[in-house]
Amino acid sequence: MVFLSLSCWIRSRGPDRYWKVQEVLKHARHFRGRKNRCYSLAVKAVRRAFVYATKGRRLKQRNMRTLWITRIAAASREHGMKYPALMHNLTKTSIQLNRRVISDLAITEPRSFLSLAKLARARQQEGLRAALGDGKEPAGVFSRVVLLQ
Amino acid sequence: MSSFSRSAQQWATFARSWFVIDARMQPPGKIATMCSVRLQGKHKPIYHAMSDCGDHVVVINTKQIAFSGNKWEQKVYSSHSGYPGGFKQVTAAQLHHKDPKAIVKLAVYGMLPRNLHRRTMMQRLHIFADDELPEDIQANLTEELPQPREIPRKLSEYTQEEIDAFPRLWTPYVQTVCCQIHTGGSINADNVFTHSAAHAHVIEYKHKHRWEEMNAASNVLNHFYTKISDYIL
Repeated sequence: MVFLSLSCWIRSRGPDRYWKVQEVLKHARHFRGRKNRCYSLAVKAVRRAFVYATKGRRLKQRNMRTLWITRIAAASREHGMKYPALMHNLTKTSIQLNRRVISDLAITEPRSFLSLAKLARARQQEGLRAALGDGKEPAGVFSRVVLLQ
Repeated sequence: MSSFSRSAQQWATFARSWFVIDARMQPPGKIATMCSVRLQGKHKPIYHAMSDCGDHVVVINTKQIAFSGNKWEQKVYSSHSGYPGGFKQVTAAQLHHKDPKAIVKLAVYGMLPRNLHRRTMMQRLHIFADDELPEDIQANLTEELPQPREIPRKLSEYTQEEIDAFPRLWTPYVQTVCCQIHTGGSINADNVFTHSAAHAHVIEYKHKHRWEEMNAASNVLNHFYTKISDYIL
C-alpha cells in the first residue's frame, strides 16, 4: 500500500488542521452541494454516509438472498416445481448447496440444475412411490442405498 | 463459478419472447398474475429488477373474462380527476361495458411493482377485446400460455352418455313419497329412505334447471316435513 497522506504529515510538521479537514473532505468530494467543500457540512454528511454504509452491508446480504431466491424460483418453475418444494426436498436429500450456488447453476449450468430438480422431484414422490409403486428405486437416481443393494 | 469471477457477466439474450394468453372464461386476477410475472421477467433465471429482461404478453378475448361471485355488481373501480367533485366510482360491469380491456389492464397495472419501470412494462402488454390480432403482432408470437382455469361446461354441452355415466348417490323416485304421504305413512326406516330420495331428486332437478318440476318436488318435500313434524311433536 502507498500512504500518501502520511508523507504529507511528515513534511508539514506544525498544526495539522488542514490535513484533518482533508481527511474528512476526501470522503465527501463526490457529494452534492456545498457539503463537498465546506468542512462543517461535510463532516455531518460523511458521518451519515458511513452509518448508511454500515447498515447497507447487512441490507446487501439480505437483498442478494432475495434475488437468489427469485432466480431459483424462476428456474424451478421451468421444470414444473415450486421453490419451497425444491429447496425442502434438496435439504432432505442432504444436498448442501446454498442459494447463491444453486442460482449460479441455474444460470450457467442449466443441465446441472435440471438434475437437481429431478432429484428433488424423486425425493418428493418417494412416499407416494413407496405406497403405490413396485418397490423399486426411482430411475436415474444413484444413492448409497442403491449401491449397497 | 460466476459469483467469484470478476469478468463482465452478459447473460441477457437481447431478445424478447411474445406470449399469448386466451382470457376466455378466465378470472382477471389469474390472467394478471401470469402477465405480471412475464412482464417483469421473473420467469427467467437471469432475472434482475434493473436489467429490464421482461417479455411481451398478448392477452386476447378480454371481452369474455369471468369474475366469480357477485364481483360484476359489487367490485368498484374508483378514480379521482383531481378537481372538486371529481370522484368517480363505477362497478366492474359498467367499466367492462365501457371498455372491455380496462379490467385486465388495471389488474396487471396493480400487480406490477411501483417503480419507474412500470410504464415501460405496461407498454409490453398488448390487450385485445376479441381474438383478432393485427398482422405485426401475430408475426411476433412465440408461445401460447395454458389457461389457468379449466372452462366449465354447461349441462347442455354434455352428451346424454356422459350425464348417464355420472355417479349418483341415490336412486331418485318421488312417486313413493307422494303415495305414502297421501296414505299417511308412519315414520319408519322406509319412510326416511324415501325422504332422502326425494331430497336427491330436488338437487338433481336444480342441476337441470327445470324450475316447475323442482318447485313441485320441493312442495312435496315441504308437505312431507310438516307431516314428520306432526308425528314428532
